[in-house]
Amino acid sequence: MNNKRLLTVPVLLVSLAACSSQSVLEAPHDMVTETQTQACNALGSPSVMEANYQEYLQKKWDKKAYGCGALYLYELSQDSWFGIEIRAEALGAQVSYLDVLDRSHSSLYLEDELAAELSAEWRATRTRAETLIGQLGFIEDYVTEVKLLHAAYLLASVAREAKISDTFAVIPQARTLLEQVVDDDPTALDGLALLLLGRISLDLPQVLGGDVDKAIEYLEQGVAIAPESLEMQRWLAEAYLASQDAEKAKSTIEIASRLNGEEMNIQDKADEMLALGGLALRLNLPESTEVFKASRQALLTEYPYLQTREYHASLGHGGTDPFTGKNSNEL
Amino acid sequence: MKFRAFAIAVASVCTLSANAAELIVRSGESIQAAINSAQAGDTILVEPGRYVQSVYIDKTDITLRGLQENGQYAHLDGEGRLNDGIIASGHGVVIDGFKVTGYKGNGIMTQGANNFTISNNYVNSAFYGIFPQFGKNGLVKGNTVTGAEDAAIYVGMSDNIDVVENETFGNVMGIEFENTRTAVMANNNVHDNSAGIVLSLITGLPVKTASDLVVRNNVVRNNNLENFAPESSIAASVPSGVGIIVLGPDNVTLSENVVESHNTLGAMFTDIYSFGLARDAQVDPFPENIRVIDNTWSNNGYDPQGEMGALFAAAGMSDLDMFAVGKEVDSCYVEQDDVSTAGMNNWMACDPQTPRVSYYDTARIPGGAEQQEYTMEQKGRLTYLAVCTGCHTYNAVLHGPSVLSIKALYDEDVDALVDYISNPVRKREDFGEMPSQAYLGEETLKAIANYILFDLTE
Repeated sequence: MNNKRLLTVPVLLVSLAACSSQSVLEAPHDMVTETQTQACNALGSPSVMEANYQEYLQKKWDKKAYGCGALYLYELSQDSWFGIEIRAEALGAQVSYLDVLDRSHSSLYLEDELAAELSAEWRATRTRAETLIGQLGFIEDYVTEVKLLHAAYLLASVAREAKISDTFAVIPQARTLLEQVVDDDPTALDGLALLLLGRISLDLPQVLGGDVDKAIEYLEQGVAIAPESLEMQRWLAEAYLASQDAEKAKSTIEIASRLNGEEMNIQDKADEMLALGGLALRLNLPESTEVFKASRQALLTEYPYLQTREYHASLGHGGTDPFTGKNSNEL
Repeated sequence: MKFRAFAIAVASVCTLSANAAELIVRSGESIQAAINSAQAGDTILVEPGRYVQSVYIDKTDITLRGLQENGQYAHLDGEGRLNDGIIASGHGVVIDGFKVTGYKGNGIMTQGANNFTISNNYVNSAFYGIFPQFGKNGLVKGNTVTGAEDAAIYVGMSDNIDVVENETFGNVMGIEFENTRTAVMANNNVHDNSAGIVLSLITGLPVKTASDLVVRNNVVRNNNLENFAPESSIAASVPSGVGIIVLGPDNVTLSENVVESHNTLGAMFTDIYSFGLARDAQVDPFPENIRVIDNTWSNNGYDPQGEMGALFAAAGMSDLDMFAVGKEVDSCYVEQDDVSTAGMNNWMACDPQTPRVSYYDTARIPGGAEQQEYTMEQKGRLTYLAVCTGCHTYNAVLHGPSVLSIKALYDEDVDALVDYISNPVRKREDFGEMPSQAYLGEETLKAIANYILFDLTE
């Protein structure tokens, strides 16, 4: 099983702002959207789907291609007799596709047609993921990775199209599953359970179990398991900053600046470099900032189709500094 | 003494003084024509009457004053079709005494103007009521603002600003300081909005910090109006029924305010992550050094609404005056009897002897801020932000077509774009009619067109 290379998890765990009026608990939706029916030409041709899905699942900069990859893998998994491994891999792809969708567009200032398309994709992906979770349920207590993917899905599923009450419903479930994974095998999927527990502890309000010290504990364990993980290092630095430990945050960022992220998806790496570079700027680490900036720029030059990412406010107000003309969101 | 004859029929020199003239605009005449004729230091007096116009002040040290007589205002009326009432990019501008109603975008806006004063105006039914942005050293005083679909008084990305003695009601947000540094909000009456006072650090903007804010002696009451911001806008995420929201800034003092009768909560303190804003790695998400002292709290949290209500229900909490997410650092409050709090376990007790900040009374700079001259490129970008972004985004549809489609349509033809902006005609059924922006003047329109066609990118 090789889900780690496919898997990233949407960033938004909980939001105090007014959220969607839609509920994640609504009835299931179609598993294939109209957009995918038109875009994914290999649907219905197992050999073509088999030949293409892995390539598509690298294209995190292209939500349509990635969506086809996730759909193909799901379809193949349903054709497979007793295919635990392929179903688990398909579940990982659905979770990652939720992340690709979430990152591809701001949730604000969307035109109606695009908003409807994203919503349909989101719901279809969720329905496929829940089908897979149901199919894998009998093995969940015996295969740690499946349990971990289930928890990752729960967190990812409420990043959009969910009420805050949905979020509150899934976080305790996810937390319980993740704690079980840490008890069983904290190294599963390169310490992903520790990363997610750290993120939950960092993001949640105190009254709902948020705890920065606990976040640091989880993420330090995570870094011990996956010291090469840029994402783990970044979140540990964030947690140190939340506890006002700037020195440890600086040390962590400097360690991250010496990592190469070789095995990362190029889109994930470009996004990570932007995030790490921003942290380095905030911490007044000019040399590290330059390292991340150069790494990101090299990726964007070599792969000009990569997404550079936008922010909510940039769409409404403009991210350009009117005095310098510089895009302030770039490093 | 100077004497200037200007060859326009719409305004005349009334009185003269050393180095400054007074120009009178009579009911129905063009205010813009008077501004175009004015020079630095001049005062333009606008007589009571109805003016269906947009006004742009791009000169330094101009005073634009609406005269009142028998309760009648100099009334700028956008009739629900014009975009902006008054926009000023000139330093040292004074905008005083107007009634401004029915504009789709900004009622009164300063953009890149330093040393400004916006005083004694009544603004109704604009998207943003009074909106100084990218300014240093300004005063917003004695205004009344209602009907804004975002913030009534919205200080954005500015420094050294005083907002005092204003009244706001019937807006989504009463008064907001957004990504603003060193500012005082004092003696305002903020009532019957969706949320009262908002101090925010928003991600994705050119200014990446918000700090050194004093909020004192305000009456913040009954801000329980249902949020009526457009569904896809960032203002739609503001929880209703909250008196004061502190979202991300550092070094904040809340002192001697009356905060009462909010159905969700008296005040909330949150980091950017927990609020659910998109992350911006260059922005520190965690508020630091918040001081809450000597405020009066009553009748808050009796019927929590929306997402906050769901959160409080999940946590088994109710009737809260103050709620903190818990990631505020080095923050303190003075414990008071009968004031209910949650999430503030890591807050300390404020030392009453701690000296108040030096900018407690005023945040403005003695002697004023520098009045630098902007290049045409800067002017193009500033005016684009002020005027165009109300309706256009780069690659999505807001009220008008995307910038991307405009670039495709006009290619590199600046003159054609200027011509269209000056004299727009409705080209597509799916968009409303764009009002003429000719009041901005050809030079500024060219700067905007150059920016859109050659420099503006995703």
